[in-house]
Amino acid sequence: MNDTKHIWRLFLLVFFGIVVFMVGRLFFVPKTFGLFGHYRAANVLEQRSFPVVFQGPGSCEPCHADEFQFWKGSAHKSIMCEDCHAPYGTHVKNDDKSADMEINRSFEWCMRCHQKLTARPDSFPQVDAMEHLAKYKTELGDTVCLVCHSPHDPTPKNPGEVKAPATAAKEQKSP
Amino acid sequence: MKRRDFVKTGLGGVLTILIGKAGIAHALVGGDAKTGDTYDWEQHEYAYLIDISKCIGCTMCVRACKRENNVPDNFVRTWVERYHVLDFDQTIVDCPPNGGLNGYKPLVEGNGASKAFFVPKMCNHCKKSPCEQVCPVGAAYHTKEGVVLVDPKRCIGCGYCVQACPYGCRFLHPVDHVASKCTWCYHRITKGLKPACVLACPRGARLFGDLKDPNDPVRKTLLETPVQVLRPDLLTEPQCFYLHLDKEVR
Amino acid sequence: MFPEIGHEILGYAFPNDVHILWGLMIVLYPFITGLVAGSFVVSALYHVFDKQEFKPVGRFSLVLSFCFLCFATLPLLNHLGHPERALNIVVTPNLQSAMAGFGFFYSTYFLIVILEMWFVFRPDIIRIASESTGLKRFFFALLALGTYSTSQKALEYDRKITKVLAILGIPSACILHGYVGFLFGALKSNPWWSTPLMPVIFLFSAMVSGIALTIVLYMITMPLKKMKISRECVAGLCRWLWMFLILTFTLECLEIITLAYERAEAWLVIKPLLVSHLTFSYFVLQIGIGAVLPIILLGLVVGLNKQMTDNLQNTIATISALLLIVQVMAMRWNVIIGGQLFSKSLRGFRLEYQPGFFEKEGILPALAILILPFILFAVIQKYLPLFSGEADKQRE
Repeated sequence: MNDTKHIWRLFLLVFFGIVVFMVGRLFFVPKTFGLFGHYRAANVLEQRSFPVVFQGPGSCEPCHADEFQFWKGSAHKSIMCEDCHAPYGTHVKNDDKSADMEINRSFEWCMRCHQKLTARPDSFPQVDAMEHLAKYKTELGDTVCLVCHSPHDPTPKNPGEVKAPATAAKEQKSP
Repeated sequence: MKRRDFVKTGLGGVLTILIGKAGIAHALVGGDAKTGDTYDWEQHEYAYLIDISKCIGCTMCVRACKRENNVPDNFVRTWVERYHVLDFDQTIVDCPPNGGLNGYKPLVEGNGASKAFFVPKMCNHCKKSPCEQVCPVGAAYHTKEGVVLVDPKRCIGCGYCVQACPYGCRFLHPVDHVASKCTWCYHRITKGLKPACVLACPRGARLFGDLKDPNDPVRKTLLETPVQVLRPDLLTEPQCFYLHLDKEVR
Repeated sequence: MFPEIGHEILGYAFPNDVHILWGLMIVLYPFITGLVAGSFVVSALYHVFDKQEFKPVGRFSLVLSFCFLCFATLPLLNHLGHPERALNIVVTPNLQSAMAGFGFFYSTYFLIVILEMWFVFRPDIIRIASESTGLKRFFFALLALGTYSTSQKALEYDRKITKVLAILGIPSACILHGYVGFLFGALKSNPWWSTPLMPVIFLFSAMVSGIALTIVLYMITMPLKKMKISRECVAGLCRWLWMFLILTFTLECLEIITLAYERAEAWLVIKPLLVSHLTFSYFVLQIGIGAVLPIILLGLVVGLNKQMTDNLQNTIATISALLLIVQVMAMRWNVIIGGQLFSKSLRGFRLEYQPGFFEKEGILPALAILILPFILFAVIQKYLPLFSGEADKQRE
């Protein structure tokens, strides 16, 4: 026995070490782990509760009913308001206006979609900016597109006949 | 006295764990009485459809995703690539910084291309995702609706999932140091909303559907029209389907 | 023809694919576990297969393996985004993930090495405990687990158990290093990594690095301890080194030749990778002076051994061993960094990866991690007799 005492002591030490480890690790496994698969089920609920940022065009209608109707009947009806005007929460808090609404009237913004690119489908309305301006004898300027096109109803009008969206909306409602 | 207390606490602890687990299970199948939430994740199976012929590369989707999900700079959860196929063996692929966040400009080298198109991409939420297979700690998983997610509290930031994804849709968040990627806006779709990118697309090039809904148009298209997926040779079974995808796209 | 787009990218890379994620630290990890496995095999050649020519290095290489093993986790912890959660790997391991195997393989092998060391050094531990006083005595008595039997029978049991542990240790060491090869080889997303040959290549080159390091350290420490270098030992180590080197080189070449021959999609991006981006580290370091030259040199040592003087043999052996340590490091670099130099788009390349000196995962931390095992080794060899001549002297 004397000859094997050291082996027994070692064996017991290792054995208990392993047992302590195997049992101990169970205390660190998260409570909801493994319920539906090899993951922490509570995370599914956590991911569902992230804040929703874009509220959709329907959220704009209560305050901007006129522009909303005007836009809805136009060629731009497939672009949601928040694409050009930034998400609802950036200018509304607690159902009240908290900041100015973002509006981008620049030439670059219109060109983002409507600059002629080889990769754009031919059926999509697009122009080579410089050619288009030259054709209509218009100088390049910061908001040059708005001379003939209203963003909420982009069908071209004569220069000077394009009105601000809010005005045009009201006029359309009660001419 | 002490032993009885110990057993009581022990039993109490076990019961709490069991009830806690049952509570979570209950909430996940739509029974949260407090919020009146009736969403049952077993009633849904999501899929994404992208129509290449409609995409104009306006990248409103990239912009919307960034705002909806607070995507950090220099990384993307979704992006749009552009292809110019010049002749039979020369294709130019490009994508401006940040996945095209600031839109596309004309490409001189692409003039004279016989075929040119945009390809939106994001996490494909593969049924047999390699990212889920290789995660060492169970931080990468898929929900019952088929959405592949990352548990940011479990992730150790080893980056194995980023290496394993053949589509390059994952990245390590530069601030949180955990893996991050497109979630199909899980927080929106579980409330009956569409993902931000789908909402933002002015062309209807991006469509989101529920395969368990018999009236779903995406489901109908998938059943009746020829569709393609990215890297079909890898058999990851992606759930993002493409219409009119060219062979040049990987 | 391809336009350059920011981030030093050539061609087209996926937007998320422009950064090298697994850098110098991850190159270091298989290098270290390779040294661990290789030096253990040298020790096993003596303890299991009773090759007496390796008696001088039997204990030495076992301790070397242990020293590197102790620090093998450092590069990984340094790299992790959340090292404080590292234990998640053993708390909730995903058994489908090769990386999750780390916890199990590492701890199993660690246990085997520590146990084997304990049995091998037990007589010396007991002797030191009985000869010292105070704190040192307490420490060594604790190490001895409070038992002091050194009878013939006890030592007989010790020898048998050592042999069993060494037998178990060989596959354990091989798996500890082989799983890393599998970690890379089983990823279908990366054509440079994806091959069933990867675990085998990693393993054989691990043997090469371990034996090479043993040779180099043996050559350095023997003169320092004023002991004689055993010619038979070095000749034997060279033989095994040469054999493993030929196997490694054959497999590495086979992989490239098959890729080139099949001309599958992978070759579109691997050919430019090798020819333009990895030219120096692959053709010069890994193949040229790292493999072909040592094959010739070691071939001379093995084939013309009888005609060589001790000095000549030892010199050539040391030069070859040093070249091979560089080769194995270059091979790890070429596989790991090389696999990330191209994008998964298979259409773009990142121009170069240069780790900074003072970066978190840079050259300075890498050097520190590589030096630590040697410091531990120096400390251990101060207290325990690692060299057979020493042990016999002290027992007299």
